[in-house]
Amino acid sequence: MTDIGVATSRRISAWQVALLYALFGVLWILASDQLLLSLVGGDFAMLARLQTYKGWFFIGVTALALYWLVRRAVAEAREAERLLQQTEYSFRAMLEGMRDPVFIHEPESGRILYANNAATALYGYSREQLCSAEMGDLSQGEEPFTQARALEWIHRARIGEGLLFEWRGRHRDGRLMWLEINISRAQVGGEEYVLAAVRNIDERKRIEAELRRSEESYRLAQAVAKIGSWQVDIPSGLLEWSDETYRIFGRSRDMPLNLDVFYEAVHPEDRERVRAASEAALAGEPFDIEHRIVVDGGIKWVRERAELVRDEQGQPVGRIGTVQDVSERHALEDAQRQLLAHLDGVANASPTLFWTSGPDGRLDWVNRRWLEFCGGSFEDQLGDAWIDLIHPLDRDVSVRVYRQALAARKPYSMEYRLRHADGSYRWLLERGMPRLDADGAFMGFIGSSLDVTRERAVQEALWTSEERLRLALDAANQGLYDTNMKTGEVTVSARYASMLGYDPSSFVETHESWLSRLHPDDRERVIERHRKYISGELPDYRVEFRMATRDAGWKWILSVGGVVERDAEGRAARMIGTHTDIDALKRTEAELERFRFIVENAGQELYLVRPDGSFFYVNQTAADSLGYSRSELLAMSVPDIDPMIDSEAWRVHFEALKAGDLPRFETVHVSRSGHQVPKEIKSVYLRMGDEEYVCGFAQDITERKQADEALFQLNAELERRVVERTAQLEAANKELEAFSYSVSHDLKAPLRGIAGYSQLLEEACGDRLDDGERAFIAHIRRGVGQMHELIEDLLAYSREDRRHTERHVVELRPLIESVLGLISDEDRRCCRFDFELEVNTLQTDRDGLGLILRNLCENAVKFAKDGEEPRIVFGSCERDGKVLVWVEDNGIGFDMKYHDRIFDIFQRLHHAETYAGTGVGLALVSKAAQRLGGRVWAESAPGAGARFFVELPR
Amino acid sequence: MTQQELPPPILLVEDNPVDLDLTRRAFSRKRLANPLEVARDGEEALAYLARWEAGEPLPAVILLDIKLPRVDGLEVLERLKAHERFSKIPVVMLTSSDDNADLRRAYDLGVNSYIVKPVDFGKFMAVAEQIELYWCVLNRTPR
Repeated sequence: MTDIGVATSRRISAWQVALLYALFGVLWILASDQLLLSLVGGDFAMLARLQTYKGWFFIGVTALALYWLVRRAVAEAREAERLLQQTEYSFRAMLEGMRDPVFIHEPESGRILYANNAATALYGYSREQLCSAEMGDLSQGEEPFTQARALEWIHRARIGEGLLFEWRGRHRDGRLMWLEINISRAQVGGEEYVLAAVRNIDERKRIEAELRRSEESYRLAQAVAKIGSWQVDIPSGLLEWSDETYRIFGRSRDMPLNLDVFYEAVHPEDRERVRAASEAALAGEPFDIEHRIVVDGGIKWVRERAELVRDEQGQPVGRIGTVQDVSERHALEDAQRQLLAHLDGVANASPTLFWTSGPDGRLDWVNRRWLEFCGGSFEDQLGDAWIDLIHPLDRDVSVRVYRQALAARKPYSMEYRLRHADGSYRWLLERGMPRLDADGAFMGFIGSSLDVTRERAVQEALWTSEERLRLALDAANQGLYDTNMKTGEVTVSARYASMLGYDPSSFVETHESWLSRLHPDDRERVIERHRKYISGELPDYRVEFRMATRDAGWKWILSVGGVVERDAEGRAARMIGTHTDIDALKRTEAELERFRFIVENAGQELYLVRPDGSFFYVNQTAADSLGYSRSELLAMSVPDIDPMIDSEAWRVHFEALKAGDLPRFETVHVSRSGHQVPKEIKSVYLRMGDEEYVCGFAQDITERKQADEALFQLNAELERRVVERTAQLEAANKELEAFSYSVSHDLKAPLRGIAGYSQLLEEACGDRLDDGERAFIAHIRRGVGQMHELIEDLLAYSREDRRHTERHVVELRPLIESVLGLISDEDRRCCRFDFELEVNTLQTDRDGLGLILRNLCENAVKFAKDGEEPRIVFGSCERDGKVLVWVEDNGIGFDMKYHDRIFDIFQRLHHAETYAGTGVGLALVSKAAQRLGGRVWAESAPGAGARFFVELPR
Repeated sequence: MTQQELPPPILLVEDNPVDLDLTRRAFSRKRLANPLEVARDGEEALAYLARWEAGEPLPAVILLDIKLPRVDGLEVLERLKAHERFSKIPVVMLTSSDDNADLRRAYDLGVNSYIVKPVDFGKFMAVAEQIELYWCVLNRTPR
């Protein structure tokens, strides 16, 4: 390379100098001529001279330039020579120093021009020997390691190819060597060479051979075991398969590999499962699955196991796994199952449930019987589903037995209850046998389970039947008899005897004594029945009869029996049966009959209605009331007889009754003839067992309706009369009011006239009148006074009727005080008033009670005894929930025979001259008491004072 | 001038000639300073008062019977108490009715006093005297 660089720069320099020189020459010629012309003008001589000088000058310059150039070229050549020598030396030194042997060949002939020390060591020849040797001498000499082949390699290298190839070389001592030769073209000092670097690769070859040998044995091992291996590089996703894996998957090695290729090969039904397991494996789960793959349209079963490969940090970087062709095993299993299925099919009558489980104990096949038993689909029943179906009480034990057998790989047998598809638990007798493949490896169990529920039941029944029979008979109140038909002896149970009132320990029964105990009215019938059964005329023996009890009463018995043994002639030899005490039942029946009679004949109609409204039962009264026969009515429903209740209304009614409503209502039924019958209905919801009814009691209320109507009319009439009467009374009242008003005005006006003018007259001419005449005037004036008093009393009396009363809380003592305030001072001064008030407050009309007390008080004052201080006592007490108020005096009293008269108006017991008064006062008291809802009476005797009682509501 | 010095009259509304005469006598017996004017029924009473607009003096007190022909006493009372000026004139019911309904009605209408005519003439005169003493002398009314 150095030589080429120097030569190139020298050539460029020469070119540059030549070019500059030529350029300078041209300029010189052109410029000097012009310059000369401008200097000399037209002097040609001068010009010629100058031209000559110019030529000399040019020659001089040219010579100088050539000298410089030559000198420089020589110096450069010398330098190049030196450099080349130096280069060659270092090159040679380098070659010599190299550990690898190197040869330099002449490219045409292939002759060895040079070989380094390492080369001599390799071949065992000296350098000179090597340089004179042929390449064939240094080679094995057999195709392709010959002289001609070697030359061929050199020629190929010469064209420019860098080649690496292996060669079989021969050492001087004849030993053959594996060589790796790197051959290339080289140019040194313009000469072309071929350079060959050689390396002894015997060791590598040996290792390769060994490796190949071991791989081969591995491959063979895999092929024999039908186990392939594979590995996945997780970061790149690259998949590598071993030969056997390729074989198993039926792929050729030239196909590019990735996970997609793998998954494509997996059977579509298994693909998801494999994928899921692979993902789980990446998360650290163990990976050991069996799945199908599709190979050339056929299906193979493979078992795959894999481990994660982790880097130093523990990160998963790859997976290494094996794949084993287990198709044969599966085929075997399938064959077994087919056999079982075949057996299952053939032995359809066999009730046995067959199943197989895998090495892990999980069920992987069950027969049709199993499916029929457990229900569900085939897939549902695989795995551990059966464990959930085991009866909770049996589960733990059963599972333990099974697991222990599985671990020991030994046969087992057990009984447990398994839930049938119908929900009941059945006893299964199960036997499991280990299942082995052709090599004797454990494949799981093959099991058979037999439903032994009935057998167990029978067994249990056998255990308990006697005890149970006894208990059942006792519970049913049944006695047992066992009759020897030949001898007439009867063996009976304790209950049989006690039923009839006998002591079981001493009771002895015979056929004869049994007959003697029958009720005379029943005897013939029973004997006839018995005879017919024994002779075979009747299929069964079941008869009811009355039987004498020990205490001479009668008891209803139901006897049911059967012949259990016959003699050689077919005659009955032994009869066993039961006696049932049906006395209560009979009584109930009789009672029911009575009830039925009552229901049938009760005056009330009875309907028993189903939820849909149709009649379940009607009594005769009901049928009669509607004019139907009972069978006609039973074919009808409520809406047919009650137009007010359609089916919807009935439904609502029914629900209300069911919810507890107990309505009583009136409706109208339509009879067969279309006649409308008013009815009163009482309904009640009734539940008898599972049946629902409405029980309706109905009553024909036509007469009551008529009575109601009449009553209504009467009431209306009364109402009208009351209104009329009230109006009359009101009119009378008004009249009375107008009358009393007139009395107070119109009667009093003339009275005032009489009073006034008689007084004026007396004043005007009193002194002219004698005593008799003055007495006349006095009579007139006294008459006026009495009349005035009478009018006032009458007015008060008539007003009392119309007075508005109001009940208030009234305090007695203050009321009496105010009444006393109305009495004249003179009277008040001469009387003594005492109070004996036990009750001080009561609810009444204040004015009314005031009026009563005032009149009684005035009465007491008025009828005081002469010569004795009048003493008046006001008293009160409570009696029988009422208030009693009394006014007591120590006056003249009265004879009780006049008691009733004194309370009548205008009735007087004394002459007006003796005791003034209008005869209205006590009548007014009586009326006022009535107005207050009370009454008055008096107790007295002549000369012994009087006590007037007023009784008022509390 | 002399008119001005006379005390205001007492207006007696009374239809019964006996009562009228006795009342007049009772008042004259006591030699009352106030002149006694008489209306024989409600209408006359109202007509008398209407003369007030022509300059006649208003009565110091009106003695009103209930039972009157044409317009009765309670109606007169109602009209008086509804009148702006007449409502200030004291009205004393002087009647023979001691019916509670009459009493309540009279007081509801705003009567100033209610007196039942005594039958006894002596008492009657005492009533007359006390009416004048109280209503014409002691009592003051707004002008």
